[in-house]
Amino acid sequence: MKTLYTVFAFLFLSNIIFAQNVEFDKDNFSSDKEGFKEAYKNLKEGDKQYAYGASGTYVLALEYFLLAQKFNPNNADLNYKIGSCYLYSNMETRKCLQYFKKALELKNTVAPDIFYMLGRGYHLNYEFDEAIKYYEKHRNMLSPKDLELERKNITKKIEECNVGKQLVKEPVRVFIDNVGEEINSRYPEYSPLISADESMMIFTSRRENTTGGSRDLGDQQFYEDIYVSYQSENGKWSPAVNMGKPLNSDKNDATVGLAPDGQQLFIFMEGDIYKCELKGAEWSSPKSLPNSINTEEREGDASFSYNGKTMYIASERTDKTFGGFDIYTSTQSEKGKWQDAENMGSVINTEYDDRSVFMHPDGRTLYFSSRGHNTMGGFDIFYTTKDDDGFWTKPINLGYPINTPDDDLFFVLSASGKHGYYASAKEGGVGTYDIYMITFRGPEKPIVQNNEDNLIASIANPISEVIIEESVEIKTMRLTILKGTVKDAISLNPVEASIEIVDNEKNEIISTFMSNSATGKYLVSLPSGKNYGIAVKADGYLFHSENFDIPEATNYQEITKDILLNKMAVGSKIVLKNIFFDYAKATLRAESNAELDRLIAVLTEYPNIKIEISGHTDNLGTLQLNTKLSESRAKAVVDYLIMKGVSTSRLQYKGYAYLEPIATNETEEGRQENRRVEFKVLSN
Amino acid sequence: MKQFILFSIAMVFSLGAFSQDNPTAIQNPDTTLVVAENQEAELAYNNGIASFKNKDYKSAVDFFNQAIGFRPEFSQAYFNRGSVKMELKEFEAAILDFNMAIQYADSVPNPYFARAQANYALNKFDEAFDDYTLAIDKGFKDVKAYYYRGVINFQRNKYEEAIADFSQAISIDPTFAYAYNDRGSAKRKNNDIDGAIEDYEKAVKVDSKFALAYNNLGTAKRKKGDFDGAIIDYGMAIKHKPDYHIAYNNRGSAKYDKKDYDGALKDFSEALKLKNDYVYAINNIGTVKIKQKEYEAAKTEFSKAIDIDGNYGDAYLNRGVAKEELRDLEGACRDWKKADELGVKNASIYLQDCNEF
Repeated sequence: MKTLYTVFAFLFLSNIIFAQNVEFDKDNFSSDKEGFKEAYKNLKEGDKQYAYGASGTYVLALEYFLLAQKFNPNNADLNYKIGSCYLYSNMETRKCLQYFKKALELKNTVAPDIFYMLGRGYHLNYEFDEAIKYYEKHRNMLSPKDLELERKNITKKIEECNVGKQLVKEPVRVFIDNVGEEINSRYPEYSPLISADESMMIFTSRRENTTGGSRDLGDQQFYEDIYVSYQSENGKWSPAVNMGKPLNSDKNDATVGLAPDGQQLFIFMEGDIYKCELKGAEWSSPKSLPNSINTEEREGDASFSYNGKTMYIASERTDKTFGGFDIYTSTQSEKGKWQDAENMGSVINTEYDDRSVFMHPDGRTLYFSSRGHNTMGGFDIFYTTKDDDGFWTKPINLGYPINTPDDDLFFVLSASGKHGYYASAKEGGVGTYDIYMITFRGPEKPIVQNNEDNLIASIANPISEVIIEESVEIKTMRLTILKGTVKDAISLNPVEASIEIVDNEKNEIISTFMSNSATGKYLVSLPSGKNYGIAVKADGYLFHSENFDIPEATNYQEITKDILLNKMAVGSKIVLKNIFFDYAKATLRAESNAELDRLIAVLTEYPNIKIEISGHTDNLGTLQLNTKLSESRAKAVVDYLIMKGVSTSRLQYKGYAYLEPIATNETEEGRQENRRVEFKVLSN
Repeated sequence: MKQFILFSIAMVFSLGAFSQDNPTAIQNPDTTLVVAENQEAELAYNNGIASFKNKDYKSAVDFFNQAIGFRPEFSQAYFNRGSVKMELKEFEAAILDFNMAIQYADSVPNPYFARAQANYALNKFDEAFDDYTLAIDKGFKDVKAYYYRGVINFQRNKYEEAIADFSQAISIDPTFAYAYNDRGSAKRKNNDIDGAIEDYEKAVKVDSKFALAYNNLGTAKRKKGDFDGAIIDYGMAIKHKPDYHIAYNNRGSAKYDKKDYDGALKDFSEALKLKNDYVYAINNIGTVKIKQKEYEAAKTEFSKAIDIDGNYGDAYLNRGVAKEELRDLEGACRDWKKADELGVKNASIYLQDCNEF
């Protein structure tokens, strides 16, 4: 028995001590010449792809190398190369570790950078202490000259490990789900873009049915194409559809940005950003953004402010850069021209790459990916918010498990702030890079323990106490999504209308959008803290106006409002909802000017129409007083129009007091609706 | 009505649910030796006392009735008849007798104290409070008047006044463990945890088997974050009162605080063995399961607690958390809504995640 133990012990030890490098030499495989021949061939084919050094060729090399390694698992160089293929191919990068470990075990001089590569392997596998150990080993072995070259990189890698240790200790509360096979394929999918209400996702895929079906010579993967999927009420995504021409071509066509209403798409083609607009059901041909945005260098990602007036891009331009990709911003002039893009400054940009920019529809939170700041490795996703003085705050890492030691890019967030989408090469995915949905769960919800004590000795009944941690504030996004359709009031056909958002206090137009001509759909993001006037205008129709007061502290809400537009015809009337008077007086307030100017525009456009302006009140107070007030208010509007040059002969006014209510006078809401000014077409 | 253990005027009484050596008290009946002529009233009165001592309450009442019949202004006879009625738990009738005793001898403190006891038993705390005060004002020297007035002050959330009363009781009897315990509890309610610990420690010093005070001491230490100290004190409470399910439950929570979840589970389970419908222990087992990320098991525990007490708001809140972890947001929101309806503090905040439901 004792002898048997000794044999086992010997065999075991021999595996450790005597595992040795086996060269790909035919003499080592004389018993299986055919097998050696095949394996050697695979090795050489793999070497060819490996030498090319592109992510796609590493994938191809890997296929050959793995076959060769199956035949001869104990070749140090081959194990090292397989580890390198995993590391650089952007797929299953964490697998590199086992091969680097084996390579070192077989031959401790397998490559000058083997300790560094092991550091990378441990780093990607969250074994940060081991990673630091190997990074330091590598540093200690460098010559003074090489140390000079590599010191900065190694120091950064060690810093990343230390950041990783901290982030992993305090994971953020999220669910991360693969969005499923309707969207993801076995090929890479990335750069998801969503409409603010998450009803649509447009993304990039390199699957085999891309337009033209050919492969990028650079990385030997299928060319990028743009795909779309729609989310149903029950949260299911429809099977992704190639968006076809003109968005997709035989070359790379990738998504980079989508306006919150989903009506403008920005794509990446040949190093520049192009814009496409949805006209009805058709996308317009890509049009290159002007030279103020695109340069000779590469421009990557783009995102737009909620009102479409500011653009955020990532660019590799060489002037005014902090290094690598930086994030730039450009604003639109009053004439709609994009100004020269400005670097967003050193709070956001670093000497490393900063890109994948996404401006949230709340108008104040900017997300981006960076290799700088306190990343735990590769690109991490960060956010920064604009403070009350207009300055960006220090970027904050979104945390683990959203961020990983590998690259985390292409993050976008729904308007509600509940769901983020990004691309990641996780184990267990449908393919290599897949699109994942992050559900943000907010701070941990404390659970309650119950205890009791006999506080008073002479009272037998115990007194209960609830032990609960301090309550937490659950923050939601401070914005309102207003969406719906614009249709003809009679035919109910969709109408392409312009939707104008006005800051009532400042009396200035914040932005103008169009409803879709094929569906009538529109979507507007309204950040909290303003009183908004919204005017919907379409040719041949009377305009429709709405007023929304959204206080600063208003949490995320979605309002659906379907708007019916009346054609310009005798008897048609509209309520002028953005006309404001001083309390119980007929004095027009300045906030009314935008609405009145719209009215003047209608009268100018239709020079023959005659109209009646009528005043209406609620039923509080006497009929006599209300008649007088409503008439005075109607007259005030008419006086304004006359002052602006409208002929008196075209205008009539009348006060109806509370005799023509449009809502109940029993509630404050109803009374508010009844207090109004109307505009009616008398003749045209 | 909260269970209240009354002093009885002529017998041994026990303070609280858990007997202790101190303070038992015997208050001698008001005896009046009678030898002179025409003292039928006094004779009947003495017979009444003898019957009372023999626990023959019916005869005692009859004799005191006779005594009063002979001498309608016989204050002590009213007082003793009232005391018998206290023993018979006829508190309203007892009060009427104490009223008469006071009417004929308003400077004597005993009837005020006795009436306070009767009023307290009837949940007439304001009247009881006034009577304890009157008893004290009339010179009632026993610690109990201060002690019980302190208890009423505590129940009225007047902790400073309660502390003053318990301190008076302690100054009269420095070995009165109950007063130390209760003063500790008043200090604890006043957020003076150090003061509470000091008093609870004095309570267990004067009565080394005072399980209840050990338990309170443990909870005070837990509030200070001294979980190890708390576990030892709860252990002492259990040692002196092995069926003390409350102390087991509390020790479980102290272990939970220390992240000793297996230890916590053992204690909560022990509490449940002692009281099988103890919903707090069931709920607390659920909280451990959540910490152990066993969300299905946690949900089951909270459901058990809810099955026993359908209005157990905290269990709904917790079950909602378990369901959220199980990704049943709709179910979680239903539970948080119910918890909110039942007045649970944090439920409305949790419901902010439920916009779509």
